[in-house]
Amino acid sequence: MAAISIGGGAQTNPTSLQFPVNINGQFVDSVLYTKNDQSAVYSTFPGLTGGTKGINLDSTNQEYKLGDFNNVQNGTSIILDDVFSTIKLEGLNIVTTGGVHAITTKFLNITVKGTEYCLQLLAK
Amino acid sequence: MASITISTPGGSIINNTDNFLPYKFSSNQFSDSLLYQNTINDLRTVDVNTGNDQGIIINNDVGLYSFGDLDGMFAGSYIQITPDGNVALNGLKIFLNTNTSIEMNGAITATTAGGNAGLHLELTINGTKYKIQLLNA
Repeated sequence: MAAISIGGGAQTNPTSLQFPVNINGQFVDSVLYTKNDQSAVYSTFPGLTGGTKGINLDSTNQEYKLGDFNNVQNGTSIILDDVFSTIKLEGLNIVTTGGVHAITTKFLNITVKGTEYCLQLLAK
Repeated sequence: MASITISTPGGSIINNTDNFLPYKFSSNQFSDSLLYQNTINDLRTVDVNTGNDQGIIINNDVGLYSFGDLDGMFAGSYIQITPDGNVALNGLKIFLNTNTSIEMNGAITATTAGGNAGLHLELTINGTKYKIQLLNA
């Protein structure tokens, strides 16, 4: 693991608003950006067009996103919208683990506003 | 875009570890943050005590996006978007609090498989596929 030593006047991390990362003893651009008013942090990836992808934490618009939320590739994502109080799951399938009753008829446990409910699961 | 000029006192050691993003640790020193960029397309947070991925993985090399207790240090609850287009919720229970609603796009089919007609939401639980009948709101 190399430590970084920077002499006076060194030019590093070429792009504005992009977080630096230590690669082989030199600061270079990471995939993580910040807005200049510090209201949002987001990631982009080299070679991709069509918008940000990966993560977008936006406190101004109260939106918190994970995945391909701009549909740059396959569009699978999770979007938490704290303005409209919604959780949006975009994907081909929703996969969960745990929470299945061990009785003849199976249910998925779900808690809504502190009250537990069961959703009956039917054979696919 | 303008480049940044960083001036530090001569000989100072900053941001010790390769591939870690720095943060300002003291008035004149950068230190390793939890953020780690493994490749040009792979950003994640690391538990510095175990070296395991923990918290967030954003891997655009393969299309894997994860959030939560990824290494199972606690209860192992996490959300994961997988390269095959699945949204995986890993936890003992699913909680909906306040007036939150969940909007799911995809995974809804009109099917008669198993003798059940009408619209259903498809779920995979512990590897087994199920469906939940959808009623009009």
